[in-house]
Amino acid sequence: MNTLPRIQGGLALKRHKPGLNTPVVNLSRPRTLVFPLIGYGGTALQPRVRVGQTLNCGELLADGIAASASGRVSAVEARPYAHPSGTWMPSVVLECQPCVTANTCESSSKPSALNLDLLRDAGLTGHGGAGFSTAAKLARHAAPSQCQGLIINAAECEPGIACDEALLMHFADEVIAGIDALIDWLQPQQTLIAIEADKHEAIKCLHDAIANKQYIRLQRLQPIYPSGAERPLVDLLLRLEGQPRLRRDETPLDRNRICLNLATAHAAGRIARGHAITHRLITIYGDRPCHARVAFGTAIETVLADTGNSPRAGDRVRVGGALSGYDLADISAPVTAQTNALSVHTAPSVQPSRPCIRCGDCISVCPVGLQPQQLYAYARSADDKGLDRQGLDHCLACGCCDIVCPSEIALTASFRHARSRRHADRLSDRDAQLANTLHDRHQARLEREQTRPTRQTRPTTPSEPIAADGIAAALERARARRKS
Amino acid sequence: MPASDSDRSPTARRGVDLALLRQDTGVQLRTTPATMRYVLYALVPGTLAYALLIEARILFTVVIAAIAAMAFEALALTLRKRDVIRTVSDGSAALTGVLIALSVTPLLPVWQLIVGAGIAILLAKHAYGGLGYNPFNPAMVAFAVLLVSFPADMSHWPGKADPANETVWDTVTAQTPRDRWRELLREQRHQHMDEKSLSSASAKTDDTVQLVAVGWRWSSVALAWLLGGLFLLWSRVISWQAPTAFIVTLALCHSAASVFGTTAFDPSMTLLSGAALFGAFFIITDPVSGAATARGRLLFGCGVGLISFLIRQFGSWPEGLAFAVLIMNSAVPLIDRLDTPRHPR
Repeated sequence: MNTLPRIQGGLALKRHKPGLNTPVVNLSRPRTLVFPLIGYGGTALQPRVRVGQTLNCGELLADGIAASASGRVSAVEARPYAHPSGTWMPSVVLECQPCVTANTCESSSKPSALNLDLLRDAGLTGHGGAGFSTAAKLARHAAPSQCQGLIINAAECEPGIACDEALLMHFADEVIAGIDALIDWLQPQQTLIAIEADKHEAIKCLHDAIANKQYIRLQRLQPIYPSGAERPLVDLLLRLEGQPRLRRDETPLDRNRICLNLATAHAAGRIARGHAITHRLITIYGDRPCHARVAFGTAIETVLADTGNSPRAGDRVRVGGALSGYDLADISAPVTAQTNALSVHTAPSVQPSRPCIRCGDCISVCPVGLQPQQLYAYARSADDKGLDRQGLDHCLACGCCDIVCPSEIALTASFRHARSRRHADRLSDRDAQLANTLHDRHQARLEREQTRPTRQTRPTTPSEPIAADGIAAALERARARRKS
Repeated sequence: MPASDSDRSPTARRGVDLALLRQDTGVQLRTTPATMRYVLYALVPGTLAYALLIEARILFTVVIAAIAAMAFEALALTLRKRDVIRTVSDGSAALTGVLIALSVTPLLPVWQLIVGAGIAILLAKHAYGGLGYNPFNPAMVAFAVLLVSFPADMSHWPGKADPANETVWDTVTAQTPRDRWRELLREQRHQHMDEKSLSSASAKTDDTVQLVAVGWRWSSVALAWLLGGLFLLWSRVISWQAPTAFIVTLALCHSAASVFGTTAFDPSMTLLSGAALFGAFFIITDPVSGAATARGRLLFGCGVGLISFLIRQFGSWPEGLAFAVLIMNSAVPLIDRLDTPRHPR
């Protein structure tokens, strides 16, 4: 416990966790809530509700999206959503009674043990950032009874995001209750909470909360960005157990390890106690840094205004941290389960990059042992074989290479671009292959029909002109067949 | 919709926001121009020692070569329609010019020096696409071209470094100090073997004394290069792999050769004379034309050490570093390819 496990690559960034010294702000719930119909990876979701329908709190609007208040669906229409492009997306608009707090949910069912259906019906998605459906994640797990390790990821390494830390500092008991509910369901052989060693306050609260729970272990990590990324974290914990690292095609579940974000575990606990997933804790960094409980569907603009962080002219609003986040084009976009931090900052000047001088600094910081500068060269020349050889699929897009690059090259952005290009290429390849197959089948069928003429084609041959009585006879036969 | 939407920056983008990160965490890493500046600073002690102990003209040639290289860089950038001010001010061209001037003899005619700078910047650098794309070390390309084109002028080294001597410009030998050493020691060995007359041996003694003096001066310069190199290592501008591998390989090769009695040099002399330490810290550490990974740099340093030993020992050139570096430069794509990340698939 005294020596922290060594982390491969990464960067020791100065701690920047705003808004931890102030009490949690409980934001009022506005009259109008907006829920973009977007699923994991930007897929469009089908709404399950119609305009004019009244809903209870917690009812599903679509797969993975629950209503965070009771109300009436006033529209299903295109609305801005939290995305750097500023495009609009079909969203469900819910009109509800305004409420002084974010988390008062009128209807709460009886507490029950967790199971897949319960999570699915509650619409729980990961609160870490990617937003993968928790039920779908756990459904992939072959045998819940064989869970070797439940890993609660409380490592929140990115500067500017502190919502998990605040959650531990203010609601440690609720978090532990959530973890207990998960343990009751999954029966893991061991449970551990991974957290960076420099979160002293949070660790103290956590210690108090698990004082009489010997089955939950605390795994301290070096405060090195990106210690909270799931795959390297699981790799690290596997290494501590003397196991080989994850293969490229393996997920932690394939090794019977279930890794959940701390806030997700907290939300799961709320579900087990019969509550709906209605709100989350968000780090807000601006004039008045704070943490706020915000109802899902609240406009980011409202959140900032209510906490006294309204942007001034020329300010930019960013979702997430400086590394993995993005700037909003439209701040009327709503808060979703994946909104972990909002920051208001002045627009700094962006310097154009210089050419790569192959200094190799990026190689030494890559947490997954890639060679970003080589990847960059291959990405620029769109060399797919080279990208594969260099392991583009392993890239976490953590941004460490961007930070150390002396030429200030947007490496991560180029990897993201290469990835989406390859994804698009693969899709169009698949479509082309499908079209090819269909064409081949069509051709084969035509050939078959030519070599083996069917019955309909025989009478049309000019050698046998159709006689009028022949038609009459055929009609007669048909009638007789119908009668019998 | 925000009221200020129209004046909001349209560059809403995803990904790393370095400016914000700096504002939040104060993380400030060295930029490429700063890297070049650090290398130039690290060259100061060696250059001063060179000027004081060997030849003051070096200060003049260094400045001329740097200015010439920057002028050629500006020319190339103008022709290629690039941002001239921003790129010239990154210091990479100036550094190339300085490295050329420090590699060649300080007595080289100025026009040849300018030709060298032109070759380095135009041929070795911009013909391949400018900074970051040159497969060969520009300074070493210039050195090799000058050595092949002007062999006589290139081997015109200051022989008498005595400031009291009025004929500083007049060189006693037409070879580098290293070359002179080799010749002398070879003769001595022959004398030992032949057990020839004492008189001829004593006739050589004066020469030896003088050469030891020259050797002492060159060694001081070499130590000044080492000082600069240690500064670069300490400030993490260069990594330790390539210089260490190079020095160790060179020392091992020469030790082995001296054990087997086929060399005229002893290892310490090898390292403290000629271009060994200068090359170790300022030439083979060029990131652009060198290997990129830690293991690759070890391999690269070993290769340069081995090849330059072979050239010194068996080749016809007194100093093999330039060719060794160029040969290993051409092997860099292969080295990079060898050391691709290994991931469990």
